[in-house]
Amino acid sequence: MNCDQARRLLSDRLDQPLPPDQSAALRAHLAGCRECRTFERELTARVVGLESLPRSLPSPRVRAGVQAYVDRHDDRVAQGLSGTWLRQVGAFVGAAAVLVAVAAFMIVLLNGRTTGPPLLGSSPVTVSPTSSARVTSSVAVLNASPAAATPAPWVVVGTPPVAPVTSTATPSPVAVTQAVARTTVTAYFDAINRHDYPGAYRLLGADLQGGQSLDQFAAGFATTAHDAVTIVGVAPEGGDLAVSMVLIATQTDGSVRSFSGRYLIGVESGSIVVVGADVHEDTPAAAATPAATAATAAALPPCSAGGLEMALSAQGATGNVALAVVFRNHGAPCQLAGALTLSISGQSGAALPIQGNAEAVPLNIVVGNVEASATFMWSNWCGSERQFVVSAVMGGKSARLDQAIAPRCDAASAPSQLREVSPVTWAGTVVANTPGTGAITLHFPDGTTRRVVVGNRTVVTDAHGDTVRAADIQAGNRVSASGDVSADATAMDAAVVVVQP
Amino acid sequence: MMQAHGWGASWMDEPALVGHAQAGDAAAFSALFEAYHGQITGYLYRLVGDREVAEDLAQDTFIKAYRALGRTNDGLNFRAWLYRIATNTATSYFRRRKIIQWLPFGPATPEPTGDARLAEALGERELIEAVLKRLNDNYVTVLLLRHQQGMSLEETATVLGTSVNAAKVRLFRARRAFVEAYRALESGQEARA
Repeated sequence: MNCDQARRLLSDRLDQPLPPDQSAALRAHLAGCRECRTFERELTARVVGLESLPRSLPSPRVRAGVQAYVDRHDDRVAQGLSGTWLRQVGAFVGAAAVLVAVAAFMIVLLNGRTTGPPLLGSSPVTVSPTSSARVTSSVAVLNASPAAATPAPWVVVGTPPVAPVTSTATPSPVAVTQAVARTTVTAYFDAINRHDYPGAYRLLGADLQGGQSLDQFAAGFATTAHDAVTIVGVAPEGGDLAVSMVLIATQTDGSVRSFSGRYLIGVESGSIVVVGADVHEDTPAAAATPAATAATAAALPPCSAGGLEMALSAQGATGNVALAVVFRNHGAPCQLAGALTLSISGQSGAALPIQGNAEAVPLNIVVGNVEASATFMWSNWCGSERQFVVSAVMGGKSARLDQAIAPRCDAASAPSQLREVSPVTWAGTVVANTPGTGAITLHFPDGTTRRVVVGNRTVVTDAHGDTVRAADIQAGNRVSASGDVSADATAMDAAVVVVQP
Repeated sequence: MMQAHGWGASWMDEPALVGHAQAGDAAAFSALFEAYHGQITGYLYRLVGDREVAEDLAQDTFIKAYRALGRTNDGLNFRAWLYRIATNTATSYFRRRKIIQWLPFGPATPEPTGDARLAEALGERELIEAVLKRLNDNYVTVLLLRHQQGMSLEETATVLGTSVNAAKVRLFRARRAFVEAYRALESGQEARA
């Protein structure tokens, strides 16, 4: 027996008893091998050390997140049968102590039910008067379409810092924050896309529910396959919040219809609901072909150079430098389609030898009254130049950025590369108007979410690659989102959140 | 009667609870969540080394489980199945982390201290954690399942989706790597002491 065989047996022995012959051979080897005896001693000690690591790490945040998800997706809870659920849990529990723990878990849900819609979790406790000037609309427009296989765009829902919720003896009035208003609209379409029509119906206020039964409401989605909603802004209106959005509704025959308008989010009977809607179809049954993804874009008016702003930013990293071309539109959402050229030059103005440099790439994005962007990644710069001029040109607009950030030289024999990392997906602006720790939630097409803490001048990955101090969030910060999905990636693969100073 | 791990002795047996949860009973799922969420979060924390990330991954794990449970077969080994989801979720995280790695603005990240200097400041548990961070993710996974989470060899193989023999081989390599990395870190500490 050699040392490798002996050490394998020492390892195997930790899992199951060795056969007598192997055990005897191992003993004989150990008797004559000091190194393996040392290994045996160390192995035992290390295993003991591993076994001494705490096994459990209970987390209120995990509990809250899973509760919120189950709350959203379990019809019985949403229908107010939480009490029944609690009794069922009681039936499962024999140990009183555990019953208390689970009951506490349920009580949170019950409280959530009494003070606000379970879909939205806790809400800040401020008063929001009901608007007397709500927009009314055709409910038929709300039935723009339901569920399906086509991936929805990523949607960022902001949860900016809020004042601590103080405990009160009586139920507190519910207020609609911008984040909650966005969430409500997103949740409405999420429910539709899940074919959870009761869930969507419950998010409508009395006026919008009034004209039709649940069955009639659900029947309105018979010819729709998927709704992709992009929120482009939230603004106060009376005592409510108006959520401006663009809706791309894919029909079951593959055609696409486009809508735009506003949903008014307010409070009724203590619950946050859609209290009004002013939504119009942009093109009358545009009859776009299924293949024409771009047709979703065609439903929006093209952006005019006059209303469009373009800017450049560079974000430093060691292996890559991210160059973002940022667009902002003044006015209604528009479609920006055309060729975007990004180039990197030295101080002399000559284009630098970078693969992909100054090559036009097609761009086709929606630009609302918040920023949309196209992102490029520059890597492996081994040249001597250290001052750069980055310029972007598109549709008669240009932007220039002088900067000195270069990516690390990884391999001198390999070319430096510049590549677009679109598809760029984007969502509305979150205003962190209170200093403190803020977070946003990334909603992915597969229905999962990820909470990301963000701060001033900080780039955060969904892997939480950075820690943010409370003081990092300053008044006026804006949060935008972009995505970088590799060719073989799943929807969950990568998301980057950029907090701009 | 098989008891749910970590529960009081008088709980309903786990297979029955899993059966209820498979049938769509959210209360049963809630009870299973209560039984396992601490362990899953603890396991993921040791895997990824960051509490917030671990919490996110744990949340993903349970949401995936909640969504998929209705499609599983009778006789499901819930614990192994749940740990498998957690492991795959962590693997996906590791893969994502490699795809794109951003650094914050602001002051440059300090240079990492040398092993010896690092070890100086560490206690036994911190030393173990530091060693785990130096190991291949696959090794950390199998070590944690077998030793931190106390799974049997067979259960570990089930979570990893491998044969028992393959799990044995991986365990041996992981243990050897762990011993060697620990020794290297510790010897640095002793040299400074």
